[in-house]
Amino acid sequence: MNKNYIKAVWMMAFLLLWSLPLLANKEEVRIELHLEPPHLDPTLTPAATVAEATYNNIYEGLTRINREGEVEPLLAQGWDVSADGLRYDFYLQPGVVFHNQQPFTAEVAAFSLRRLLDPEAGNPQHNLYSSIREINPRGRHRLELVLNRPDNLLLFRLGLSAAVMVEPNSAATNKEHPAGTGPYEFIAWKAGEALKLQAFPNYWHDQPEIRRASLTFTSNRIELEASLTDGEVDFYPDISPMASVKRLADRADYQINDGVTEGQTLLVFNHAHPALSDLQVRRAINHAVDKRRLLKIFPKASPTLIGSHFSPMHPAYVDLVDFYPYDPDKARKLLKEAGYARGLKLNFKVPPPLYAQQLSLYLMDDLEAVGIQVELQRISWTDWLQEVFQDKDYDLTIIAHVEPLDMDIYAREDYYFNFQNETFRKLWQQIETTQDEAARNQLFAQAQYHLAEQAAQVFLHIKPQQSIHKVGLKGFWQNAPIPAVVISELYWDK
Amino acid sequence: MRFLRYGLTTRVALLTLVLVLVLLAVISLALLSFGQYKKTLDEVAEHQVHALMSATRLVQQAEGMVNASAFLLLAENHFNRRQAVFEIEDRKEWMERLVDDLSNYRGKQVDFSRINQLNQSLFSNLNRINNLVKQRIDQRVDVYFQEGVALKDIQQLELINAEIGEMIRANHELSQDLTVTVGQQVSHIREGILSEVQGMHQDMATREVWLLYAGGLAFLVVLLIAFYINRSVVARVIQLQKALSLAHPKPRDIPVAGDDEIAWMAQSIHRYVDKINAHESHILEINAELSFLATHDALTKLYNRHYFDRKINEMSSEPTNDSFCAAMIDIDWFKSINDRYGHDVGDRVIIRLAEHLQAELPKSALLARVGGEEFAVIFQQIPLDETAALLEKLRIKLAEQPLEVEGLSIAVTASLGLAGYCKDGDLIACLKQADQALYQAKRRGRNQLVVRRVGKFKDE
Repeated sequence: MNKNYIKAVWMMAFLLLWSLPLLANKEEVRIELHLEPPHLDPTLTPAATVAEATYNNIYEGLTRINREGEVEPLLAQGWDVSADGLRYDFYLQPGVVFHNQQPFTAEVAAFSLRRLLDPEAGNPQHNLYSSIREINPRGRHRLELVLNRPDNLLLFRLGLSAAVMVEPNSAATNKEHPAGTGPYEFIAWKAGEALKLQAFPNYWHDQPEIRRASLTFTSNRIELEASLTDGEVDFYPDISPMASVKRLADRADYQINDGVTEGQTLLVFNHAHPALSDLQVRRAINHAVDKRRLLKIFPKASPTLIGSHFSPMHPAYVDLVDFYPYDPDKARKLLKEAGYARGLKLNFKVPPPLYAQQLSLYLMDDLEAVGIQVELQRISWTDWLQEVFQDKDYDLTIIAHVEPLDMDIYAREDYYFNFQNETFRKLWQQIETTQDEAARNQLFAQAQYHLAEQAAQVFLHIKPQQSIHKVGLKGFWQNAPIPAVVISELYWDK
Repeated sequence: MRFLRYGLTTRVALLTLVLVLVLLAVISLALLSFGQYKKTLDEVAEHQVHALMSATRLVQQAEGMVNASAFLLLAENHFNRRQAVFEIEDRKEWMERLVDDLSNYRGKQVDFSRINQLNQSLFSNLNRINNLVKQRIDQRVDVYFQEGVALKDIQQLELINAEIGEMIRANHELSQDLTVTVGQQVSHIREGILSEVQGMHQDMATREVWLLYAGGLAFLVVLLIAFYINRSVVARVIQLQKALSLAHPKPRDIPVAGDDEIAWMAQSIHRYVDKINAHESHILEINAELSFLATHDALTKLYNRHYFDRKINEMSSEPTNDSFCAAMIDIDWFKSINDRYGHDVGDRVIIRLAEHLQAELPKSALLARVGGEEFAVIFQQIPLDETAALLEKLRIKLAEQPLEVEGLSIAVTASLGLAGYCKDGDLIACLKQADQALYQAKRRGRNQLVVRRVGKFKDE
């Protein structure tokens, strides 16, 4: 045994040890989600980033929305609906355990849904489920829901991240240490660091190919660009507003995927503001914004413009894009008529999403051009959720509403828009109780028109969903019908 | 419990355990080394490289900040100005975090208050530039788009421009200072990495020697175990096997020392060989007795009729040229001795006679008991006269001296027939002649010797 021999043995041992992580790389994925989530419980926040990080990764619902936006069975493997549409019988998947090893049963499902409906429990989407009157566990794996009225969207909504199943023992700690029934269990997350997930060995369904995932939240644009440039990211679902998207797209190791979302990008008015409660002011601002120029922020995408809060993919869509054509003179005139000839001062709270940051520059320009003094405040995502969404302390803000078919938010009294409109509320009630699709679509059209006519917001465009991914990473969603990054569907090309 | 204390299995198990322990120690050492190697690599990768990346990015951002301030400087309208400000704010936010990150570096550090101070100056200058540019944009609107431009306004614009220029130069200096300071930190980190790698190399060199020794030790233990097994098992088994392969294994050759399975087996074999040897000598004794009984008369221990006949036949089939005499001897009135004293006494009389015959007859004579009280003798190469004289002497001695048997004094006489000479080819005929001579002696009144001369002595 001479020294060279020993060195050779060492070398071989090291190569062996080192090749393991190399081999294992095919089982790992690094996902960038841009916005730091306030916590990890999607039932307690409207922040889409929580849904993106956890939906169908950590948590699962009775149903799921697939990549095409269709409803599929998940924890409910099937259901019966009574002829009058008022009774749903769900047959729950047996053998499902939560990450804390507690079993998933009809009682647990009932607990989750009661918690969802309880306004005190703090689910910001609880209004979506107001059709549910009774929740009755019938045996270990059968759950009956009795409705106030027929609800066509119930199965779809049960598949949203707001309605994921949680478990009584862990529900209170899901914010910090989430426990769901999903294919991935929580490993670690500290503020400012990556969220670490790993495949849950007792998952009730097939084990996913990706065994470990690391989700980073880099809200600083410069830093995000640097980490993309350095190749530290395997998948980033929303690169469209990034200036360097063209340069990255030209790189051999990255590919860009063009997709669409159901998300409406809005310049949001706080209708409680004295000036903004004035329809003329809102209309003035609508005329002041050059929606087409705003699309400059997307170097490689050209998303669809909108004129109301509705997805152009929906059959009931009405094109109201040019309801308020770009006309600064008219805007100035309307402002003057409204009594703001000497100027109007508004604050503008801008959250960290890249599109919001970029759009805010153009919007400020447009607003200043018609004599509105805008005080721009760039605030963190947590601050936005608190100050704007929770406390409604803002004049203007900008955000994309990515939940599909969420027009009901204009009917909510406590929503952060402070949009109190009886006509719309009545319309929405009608929509919810109307079963006939044609009639319903007719009502949807009316609702769209009403929102446009009321200049409820400045409806800008559909949020594009250009994702960037490493060459070889497959299985990601082309479009984003709901905010989700389903890691179990990802895989690396062999 | 004996098994546990001394058994070979226990000992072999203990030795194997020693070997396993040594091997485990070697493996543990190797694993420990791997662990340390991995730890150092992780440390270098996680901490040092992270710090190095932070430092490099900080330098990049400091330089990028100068570019950003150039954009700010060039901003012709508020849109461009705000765009530049956004970028500056983003860079600033990141730079602050990078500085935080870097200040957590566990190795040698530069003076971070200096970096913070440089950063603060840089940012406050940028703020100032932003305000100046904002003023300049507003001023320019006044200057270019309003009628009646006042000289004062133009001078103001020039002043603003001059101050912006000064700020930009100051920022350039600050950014250079920052770069140099952070560069020093980079060099600290590089030294840290180098020293960790160096330390790791030294550790590894020591570990290699340790592993070599440990490997050697393991080899030695294997040798020792092989030696022990050879000495305590194989050698003894071979010794045992050698001892047992002898034609007549002797118990003293079987090694029985020790207190283990082999010793126990050897002891068993020892006992077994002992027993076999005892059996064998017993069988040999029985064989000797059997072969004696086959050729001798049980009562007198003389040759029996069977042996005598066989001998005569052998002699007849391999004739020499020797001359023989044959004699037949019969006790007189033996039946009356039996009747008078009983068979036991009769038997004793026959034994005494046989002893008498053995004592008186030459050793070369072939003497056998051929009947109840009848004896036959073949004399080889002894002259007939000499033989007759011998027999006569014998007869007289017998007749003169009564036999002392069980306290009785019994007078016994014998009749004798002698024939000679005959060749060995016709010994049977000769015996017949001797027998006839015996009858003649009986007829003549017993206690006498009758001699029949039938041939010539060889030498005559």
